[in-house]
Amino acid sequence: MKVRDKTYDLNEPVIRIRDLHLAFGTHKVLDGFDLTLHKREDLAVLGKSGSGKSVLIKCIIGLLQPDSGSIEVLGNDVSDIEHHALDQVRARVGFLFQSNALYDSMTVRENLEFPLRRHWIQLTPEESEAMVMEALGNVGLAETVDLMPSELSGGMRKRIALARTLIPDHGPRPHHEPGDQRPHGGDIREVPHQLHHHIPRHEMRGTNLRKRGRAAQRQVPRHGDRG
Amino acid sequence: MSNIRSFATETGELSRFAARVFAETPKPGFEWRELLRQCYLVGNRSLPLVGSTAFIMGMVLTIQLRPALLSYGVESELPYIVADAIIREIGPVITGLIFAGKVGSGIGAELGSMQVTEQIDAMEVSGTNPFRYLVVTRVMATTLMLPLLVVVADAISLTGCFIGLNIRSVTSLPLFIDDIFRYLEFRDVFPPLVKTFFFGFCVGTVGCYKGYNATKGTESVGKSANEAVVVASMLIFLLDLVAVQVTDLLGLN
Repeated sequence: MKVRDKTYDLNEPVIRIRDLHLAFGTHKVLDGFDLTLHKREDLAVLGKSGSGKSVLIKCIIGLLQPDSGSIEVLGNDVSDIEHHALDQVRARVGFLFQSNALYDSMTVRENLEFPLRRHWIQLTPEESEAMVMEALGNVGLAETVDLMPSELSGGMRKRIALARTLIPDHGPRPHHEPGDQRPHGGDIREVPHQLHHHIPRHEMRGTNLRKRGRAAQRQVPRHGDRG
Repeated sequence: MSNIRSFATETGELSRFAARVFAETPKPGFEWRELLRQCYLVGNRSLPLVGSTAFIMGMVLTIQLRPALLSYGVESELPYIVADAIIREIGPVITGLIFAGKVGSGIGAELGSMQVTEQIDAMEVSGTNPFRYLVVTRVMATTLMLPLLVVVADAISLTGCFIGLNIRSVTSLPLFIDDIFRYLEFRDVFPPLVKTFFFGFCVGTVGCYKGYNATKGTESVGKSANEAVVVASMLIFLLDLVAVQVTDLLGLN
């Protein structure tokens, strides 16, 4: 699979992927993939459904192990790293899941507090509460703090999931395409862009819609059925 | 042939999963808070069902056994015979089966749903070992709570027995208790209690294994819950068979 990767800025790459290979059985999903994400860059990976965008993003966050190649995130090779060090890298990365992945058994507050508590960030309850409310305020859903995910609409759940990725701060923010839901307060697809201006970040998304990809500063096309 | 191979593979995978529970449990940073929450949920979730079935079993067994013992002229032995049957076999096995149906299926469906909706992946990304947070705590909770539930179920069963006994005859509570404990020995109580720890471990492990390994798709959630009950129930009977052989070999029967 050939991938175009126009380099915009050689300074401080946040994610650097070199010669990435991954196959499920005999089916090659990633075949020599290269990519560089620079600081404060907004990048979209374009490709058809099933072309391996989600697989790529899961490799970046260490949820899938590539067969070969290197993935550097904030200077750490996540394909060859101790579990504890990988957790530290993950604490600096916000990951937005396609299915939101909100914890059903927890309230919105507990969902947002979970990454704070689990990454062992030393916070007082007041600091933690302030961070939760700020993240919810950023997505315009501060009033949902004590609701359960089942009480929220699809669009609201998407926004809460986005708020959860904002909590462990200051790293790259890979995510799947945000989707079509139009919750109250505007189009969910605008939220990452609004936040991008409000909180400078480095962002990477996988999408199968060229129109949405064009909203990014840079696009990386994926060709073929997979890959 | 392929069925035998898949059965062997499944058994091997389940054994490896159980071994991983043992390997992960003693590691530092144990999830005590989640364990306590799970213990409460597991006990609380199954107590009403366990209690009501135990009461009915105790009463029915007493009413059904009475005519047979009456014909042999040993009606006075009824409390001890029912108590021995309940404490040795009926209490642990019936409670274990109800526990598998109620808790095992719940765990299978819950973890299966979490797997399908990527919540387990989200947990891993949040710096949590999902195996330790979800699996170890649930297996520990079922292992610790089933023996407690069995003790409670035995007591409720004996209450049912006392009421059943007083429907056709008259027995005072002190006499009823004396009739039971006059003959009840250590060997009647201890081995059945030990086997319930294994039953609890088996229900938790199978439920977690089926849920944790659910494939993508909502259909697999129901399948995980269903298989968790079937496999755990079967294993309870197998363990019971092994337990009776072991206690017999040790001269505790």
